[in-house]
Amino acid sequence: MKKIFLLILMSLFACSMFANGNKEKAVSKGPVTLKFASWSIQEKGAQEYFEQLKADFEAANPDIKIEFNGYPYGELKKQVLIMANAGESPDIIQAERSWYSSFVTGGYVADLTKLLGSDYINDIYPEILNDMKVDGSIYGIPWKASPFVLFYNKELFKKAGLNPEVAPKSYEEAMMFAEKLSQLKDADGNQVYGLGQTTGAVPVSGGAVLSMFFSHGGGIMDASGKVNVINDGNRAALQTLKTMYEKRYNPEGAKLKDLRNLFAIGRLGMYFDQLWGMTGAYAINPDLKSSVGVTNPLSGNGAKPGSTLEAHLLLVSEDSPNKEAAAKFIKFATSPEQMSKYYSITPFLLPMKNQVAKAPKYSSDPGIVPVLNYPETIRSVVKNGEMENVFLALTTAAQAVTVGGITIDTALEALNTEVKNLLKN
Amino acid sequence: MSLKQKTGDTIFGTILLLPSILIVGGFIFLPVLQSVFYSFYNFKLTRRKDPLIWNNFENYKNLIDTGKLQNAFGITFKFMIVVVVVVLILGIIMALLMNQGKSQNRVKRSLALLPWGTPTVIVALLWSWMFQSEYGVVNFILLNLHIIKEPISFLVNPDTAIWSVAVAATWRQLPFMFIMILAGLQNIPKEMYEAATIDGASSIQNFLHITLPFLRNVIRSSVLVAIITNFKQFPLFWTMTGGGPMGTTETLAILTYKNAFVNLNFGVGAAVATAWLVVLIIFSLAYNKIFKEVEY
Repeated sequence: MKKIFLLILMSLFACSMFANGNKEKAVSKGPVTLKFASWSIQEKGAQEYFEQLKADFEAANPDIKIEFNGYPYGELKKQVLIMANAGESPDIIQAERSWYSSFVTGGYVADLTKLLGSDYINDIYPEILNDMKVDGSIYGIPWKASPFVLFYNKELFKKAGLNPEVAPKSYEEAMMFAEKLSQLKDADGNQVYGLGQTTGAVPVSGGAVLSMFFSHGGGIMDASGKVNVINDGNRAALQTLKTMYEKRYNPEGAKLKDLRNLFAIGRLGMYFDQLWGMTGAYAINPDLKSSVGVTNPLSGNGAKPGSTLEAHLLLVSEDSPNKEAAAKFIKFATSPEQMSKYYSITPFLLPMKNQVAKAPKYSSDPGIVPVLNYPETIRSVVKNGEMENVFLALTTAAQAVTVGGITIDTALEALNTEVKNLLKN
Repeated sequence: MSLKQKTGDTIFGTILLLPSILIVGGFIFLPVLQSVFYSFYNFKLTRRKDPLIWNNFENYKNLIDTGKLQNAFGITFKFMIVVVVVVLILGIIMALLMNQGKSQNRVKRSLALLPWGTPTVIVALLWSWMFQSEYGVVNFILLNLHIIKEPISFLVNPDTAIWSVAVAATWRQLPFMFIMILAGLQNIPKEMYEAATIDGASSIQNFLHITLPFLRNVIRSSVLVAIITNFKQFPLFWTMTGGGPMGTTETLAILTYKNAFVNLNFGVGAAVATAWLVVLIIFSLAYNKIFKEVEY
């Protein structure tokens, strides 16, 4: 009896080993339907725009239909990878910049270099293009772009006796401003935080911490391309973070959404965020619009300001039988006309020269003008499938020197070991 | 019984059992076996082109070399032991207080059961808000009572994060322990206490020599359920801390989930789950051996 039972179990087990889906996708004839996996299409404020984009594209290309597949932001990457492994990849994928390396090194997305052509590709700002390149090829097109800009509340600046029209240019200056801002109290007597920097345990916060490293002259690789986080720039960045924590300028372990909430209710004087992050703050407090100032990443320790590229990308699935049609859609969606419409509903920075040239309102928008030269601040990061874990390790280092009470050198040693282990470098 | 008849009975028995074997085997044993199998392979969903390769125990080695597995075991056991002990002690106290037979106790008992009926994710969100440093009611109360001078970020501070989750877990699980022990208390014959009292036994002696021995079987089962619940506790940790800060709440369940469903590295995720499975089986066997069921 036991033998029969075991035999049945082993047979089931053996069958399941070969049960992985392996079907070849047939190339359809006739009208092509492109599946577009995106989280933005689910956002209330953007739905009307996306419906219009679909209608405009289908009218211009009667042989191509667009099918939107909406997923929550936090689920999209996982769902796309699961679908790809089941042989059901969507044709076009919206991706966060921090997911890019996973998709590329995993072999899930197509090389767009030839599909889109050199004229189109070379229109992307060189600094951004450089960050998208993997062995000389481009696998994703930046749709919305931004560095980690500094937002500041002009009303709070006035209350603190600071000039609301003058933004800080360096971390040293920002710390002086933060000292004054943190003396303020809100209507309920709660303390106002001076300078917010996200350190929550999510990859996007790791990007923000890495940007802080860049701005202090640090980074995760040395000049020879080897992992080495133990340098003066990173030390200075972590010291700044530690001071921000000790002087209570920065809420502990905050995620970006926490900082947006605090900024919206007037309890945070300045903070670093992606440009579109302000949409969340405006949703909480629409009256905030008139009192928000923005500036480029700051310089720290005398170094040149720097930031990771924060972007929403458009990728084409490697398995898509309709790559040409997908490339056509990407070109259409990123055309100056469409981008001007998209930009009017949510703030972001345009990643292509042609888009900027044909959007006069954008170039004169007071919310954009101070950061128009943002591509100069973009620093390229290593392309490795483990980069999301590297970003998480960076947040751990930031937490270690603040709430963890660990010395900066010990935190950097631990980070160095972790990053070397992750990147196998 | 002839050999032919015996073989016929075996085949008939197997046919009768086959549906159950297929269902249990297919849905329980098979995924477990498959998970153990994958734990020895390089199996990442993020690298589609990689074939399934035996990686020479690399998943286990990496987890041990980085100290993540030991850290997760330590945190899991620390959390489990503290919560089970606190829940057990508070459960016994509550049950003793409620076992007075007064009519208003029925209302109190019903109210005490409310946390048990609340979904764990809701409990996690509720306590996350209560522990929030800027708007949380816990900080509000402590500040107004002048117990603290500045708000504490309970879920962000490495010293307080795990204990904050433990508070939420205790609140959620206490009613279960309390109701089980109360049911056990109500089954103890009153004559035992009467006889002991006539013999001059004090309340403490009654508790130690009558109540506790009679509750032994109930406590044994309830504690085992509590141990397993807290050993595999996931929603409270994931919602309240996500394993942070600095990995101080990264339990085995969180480590498994992060590897398998966030990093999509099923090989490493399966390795954690396998290590965890082995320890839990050994623990359950030892527990049942030490605390044998007693018949009265």
